[in-house]
Amino acid sequence: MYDSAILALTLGVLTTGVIAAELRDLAASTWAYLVHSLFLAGTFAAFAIVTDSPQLYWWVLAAVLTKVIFIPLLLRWYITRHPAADLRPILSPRLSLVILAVLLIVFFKVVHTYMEFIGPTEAAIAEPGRSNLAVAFTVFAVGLYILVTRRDAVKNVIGICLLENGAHLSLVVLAATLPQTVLIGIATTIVISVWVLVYITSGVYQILGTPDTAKLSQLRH
Amino acid sequence: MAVIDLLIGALILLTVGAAVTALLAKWRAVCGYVAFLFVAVASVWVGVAAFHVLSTGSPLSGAPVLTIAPLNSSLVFTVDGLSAVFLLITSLVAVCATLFSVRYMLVYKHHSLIRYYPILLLFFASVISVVSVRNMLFFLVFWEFMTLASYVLVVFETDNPEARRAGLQYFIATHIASGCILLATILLYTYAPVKSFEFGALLEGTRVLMTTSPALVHLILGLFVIGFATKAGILPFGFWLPQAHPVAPSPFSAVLSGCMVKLGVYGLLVVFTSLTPLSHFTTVWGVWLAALGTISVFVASLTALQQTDSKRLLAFSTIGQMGYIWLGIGTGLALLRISPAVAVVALMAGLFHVVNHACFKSLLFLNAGAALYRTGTRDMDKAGGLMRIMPVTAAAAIVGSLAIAGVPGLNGFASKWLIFTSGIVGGLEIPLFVFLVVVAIFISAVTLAYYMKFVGILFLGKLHVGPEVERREVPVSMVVPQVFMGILCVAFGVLPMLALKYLYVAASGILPPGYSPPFASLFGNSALAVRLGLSGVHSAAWGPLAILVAFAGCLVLGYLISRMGGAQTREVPMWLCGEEHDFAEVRYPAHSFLLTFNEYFAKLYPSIPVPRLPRPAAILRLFDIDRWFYSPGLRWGERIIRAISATHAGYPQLYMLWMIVGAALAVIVLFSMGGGL
Amino acid sequence: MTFAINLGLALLIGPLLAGIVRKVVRARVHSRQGPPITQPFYDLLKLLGKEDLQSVPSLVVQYAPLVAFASVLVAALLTPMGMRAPLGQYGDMIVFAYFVTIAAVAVVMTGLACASPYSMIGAGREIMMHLVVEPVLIICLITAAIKAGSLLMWDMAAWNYLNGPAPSMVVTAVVLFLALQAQVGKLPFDIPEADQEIMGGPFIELSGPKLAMFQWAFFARQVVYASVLAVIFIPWGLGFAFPWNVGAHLLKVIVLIVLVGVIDVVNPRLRIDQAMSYFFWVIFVAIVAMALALIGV
Repeated sequence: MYDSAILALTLGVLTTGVIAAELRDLAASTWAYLVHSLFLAGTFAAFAIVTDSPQLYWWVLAAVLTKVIFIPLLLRWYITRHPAADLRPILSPRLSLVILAVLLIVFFKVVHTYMEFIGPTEAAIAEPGRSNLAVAFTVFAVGLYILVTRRDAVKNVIGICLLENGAHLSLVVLAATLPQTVLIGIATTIVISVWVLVYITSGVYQILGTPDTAKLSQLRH
Repeated sequence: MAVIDLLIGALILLTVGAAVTALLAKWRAVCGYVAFLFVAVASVWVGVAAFHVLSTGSPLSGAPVLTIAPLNSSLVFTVDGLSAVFLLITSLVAVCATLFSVRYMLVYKHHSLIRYYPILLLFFASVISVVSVRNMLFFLVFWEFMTLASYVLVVFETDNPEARRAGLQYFIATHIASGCILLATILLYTYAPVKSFEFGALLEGTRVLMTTSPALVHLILGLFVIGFATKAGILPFGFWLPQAHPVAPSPFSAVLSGCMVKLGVYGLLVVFTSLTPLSHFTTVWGVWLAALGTISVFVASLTALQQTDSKRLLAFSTIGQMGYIWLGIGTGLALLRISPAVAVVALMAGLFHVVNHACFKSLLFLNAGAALYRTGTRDMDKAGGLMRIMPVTAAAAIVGSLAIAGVPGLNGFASKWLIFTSGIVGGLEIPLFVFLVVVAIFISAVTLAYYMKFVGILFLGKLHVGPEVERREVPVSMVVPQVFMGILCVAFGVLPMLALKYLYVAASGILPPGYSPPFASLFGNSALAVRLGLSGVHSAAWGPLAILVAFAGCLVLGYLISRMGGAQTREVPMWLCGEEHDFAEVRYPAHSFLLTFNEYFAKLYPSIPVPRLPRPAAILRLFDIDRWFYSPGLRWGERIIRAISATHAGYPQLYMLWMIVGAALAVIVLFSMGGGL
Repeated sequence: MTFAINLGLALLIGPLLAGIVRKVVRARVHSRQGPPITQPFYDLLKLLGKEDLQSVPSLVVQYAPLVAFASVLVAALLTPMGMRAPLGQYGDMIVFAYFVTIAAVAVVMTGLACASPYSMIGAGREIMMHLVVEPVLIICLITAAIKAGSLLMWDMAAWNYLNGPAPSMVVTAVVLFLALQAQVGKLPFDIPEADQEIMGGPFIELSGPKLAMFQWAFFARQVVYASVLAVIFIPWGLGFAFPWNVGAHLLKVIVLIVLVGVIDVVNPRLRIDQAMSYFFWVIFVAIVAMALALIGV
């Protein structure tokens, strides 16, 4: 029972992540991200219950604090001051979905074939860890994908956060006994980076007059 | 202090001098004199070291300065006979050119001298180093230094598009050449039994390869030849030379022609005597070298006939003379296993022509430079008759032209005579050489023709310059080097045995010990006359002193006869059929001088009913490697580079994509390398 | 001793031969009496006394005639004329070829230095003629050198005398005779001087002693060139005792120069490009002869 619950939760993580990527309205995108983080916290909680390890509870807490509360707040701060609509993406949504589906399938295959290579821990080899890992990689890939194909600076920030979420998800499976201080350290780093990014984006907007990162091509000349 | 330390000291001095002149670059005249001082002292030291080697006959070796253990190579400065000859040439040309530069470079008011004197001194240092090492690794390193320094100096006039174009061409051609040499060296290194870049080790490598894979030896030798032929300016690889020599500042043109192209000859000799054992390869390649040289002589000299730019004419002439040198050396190499006497004479002839060419070609470039300095143009149609205002320069130019044309009594004749003689006697063994010598002698007359044009139009006759030109001789510091070189030309011409004695040391030094016949049996015992003893009997003779005494006597006789009648001299205007004309109207310009001959040569091929040769234009196109190989290569390279740079369009997403792709590739590669991460 | 013979032949017999040709050949063909055979001497003496008109005060113009004169004499001293040459041990065939080249150079330098358009054209033509005629001389001498195994001219003559007529040597003799006409500057090849076209070409500005020196040099040059052909390629009479070998040589030279004179009076002048075409053919035949010598024929 727990296995299917975890699977549902992780799929929820993935779906909301994709939605957050695709939505053009930045405020809605931020809400989607918030929901995505909730699902993530839920996954952590489920793993904590299943494996009965105390650190994972700390993870849940850290996840909620940073991802559900803090980061959306930062994003909202930015959005209220600047235009709230994403610019036309570089690849159309339909194409994106196709690519992401392909990536998901690829990662599933990889995870189910090469597990010994990737992480020979007990939790990883057994289900639901294995599928979880595949989803984690996909979320990571979504994050990268956003960075490459989306032009608005805020979307890129969301993409970075998705990246980080994917990494955390995989950590659950691969390194469950990680002391919580490490995780807190990582989370804090991410928060600060997002803060700085938002600040920089604000500055870029002031100088260039547009949040379009594709216009940051002054290296060319 | 060992004599070799003089050499190392000279190198250090030149490097220090480069730094000092860089600091002094703003004070132009002072910088020049300081540079000259450094060069003069360094040249004296180098000259002493070189002379020591040539007179004692034993090579000098220093202690290792620097060792690179993993490559089993150490930097040891060694001077043997051959190096000594080239060191002497370099120091002579260096001193003269630098002295000439002192006033000459003052003309370039808007160009900073920091790109000239320091680089020039570093250039000399690298040339000295190139000929003083016996390790291919360091040879190549110093060769590169030399090439880079010469490139910077060639494009000294950065605002001149012609100079930039010529410099680019030179850069590419010479780096392809270096690439060939490097490839050949690495191939030899791979097969050497003892993994080292020393000449001896590479020789063993060749020896091994000769038995296992002779085709590869031919490839390696071919690569070496291409590399050194490009540097020496031999056609068809030397197409850069007529572009690059004219645009460089005149003193550096003198250095280029007088000193740098000779290093192609040095490299060739090193390859065929120190990197290849004496074998049939030497014979085969000797014939090829001689043929290649003769082609250069022929094509370059005929092209020089058509030039109206004085420095370009000299540049083509350099290619032609290098062809002579290759003819001599090729004959020598080819005959090494067949007839040692003729071979040694031929090699010495080639080396002698190297020395002589350094003397008269730098003299001629300095002459052209003086004319350029005074009149501001290189075009012989625009300025002429400069003897009126520059008598000493004109006299030096006449001496230089007669020397290069091979007039007996001057040094050009002595070395050409030796080349021809050894070629003819060698032709009894390998008939091809006789034909090559016939072509070479014909071209000797052609050389005479275009030098008559050079001297005649530029210096003789009535003065024809623009009104803004000052009517006086160039400064003393520019005249002294010309006179000095002129005296050398005469000295080597009248006393060739003096030079031959030392050249014998150089030539026998690079051949296996005991190989060359004794000097007296080759050249006779007299210090004043050269009596060649080839094939056992006296087969040729040239006694400059006796003949010149006879010549002088006949001159006196003629003078007495002409004075016999007691005729009076009277000045009259020029006879123009009784009409009065402004001189400029009836002046006979440079391009008309050999018009019929040039036109004739263009029509030559179809009218002789011998097997139909392709029209000259096709041959020239074939020879123009620049056009069908290097330039298209450059264009394609540019296109590829532009295509690749389009992938770095400048906006961040693309870069991120590349990073992701790169990371993914790295992971895949690591995974597939076996044994996991 | 040989000095005197060579110099005498060149300096004294040269003008005499020119006079003989003028009277015996040219005048006869023109159906007239002609001047006495010593006329060239009178002309030279007259010129030596005439005013020396200078239009270009140039050292080159002052000394080039003397240089031409001296170089032709040195070439004469290098040529065996029936017996060993006085300077034969000091100069071989290449030296000889270069010394006759010096005479041509002197002519060209004079033309260039005078800077009159006529003299420049003449100088250019002189160089062009020289460019096509000199290779013939060189190739013929090289052929003889190949046969004889030595570059010394006396060795070549001796070899030819001792070993009889080889086919390649015969062909070479014919070729050299064809070149002789241009070498001595006689019609149809007197293009550089071309009195009627360019008024003496390089010599237009010369007069008096300078002109005399050039003319004397050319008289001597005739003898020298004819001697080379006579002694090396027609070795009859080399074995005679002195002074008959010199006499035989003189006879050969006279015959050759008379032949040259005959051709001179019956031919018009060629254009420079026609002359060059002709000589390229001659060079080709000479090379064929050289190839024959190389293969041992």
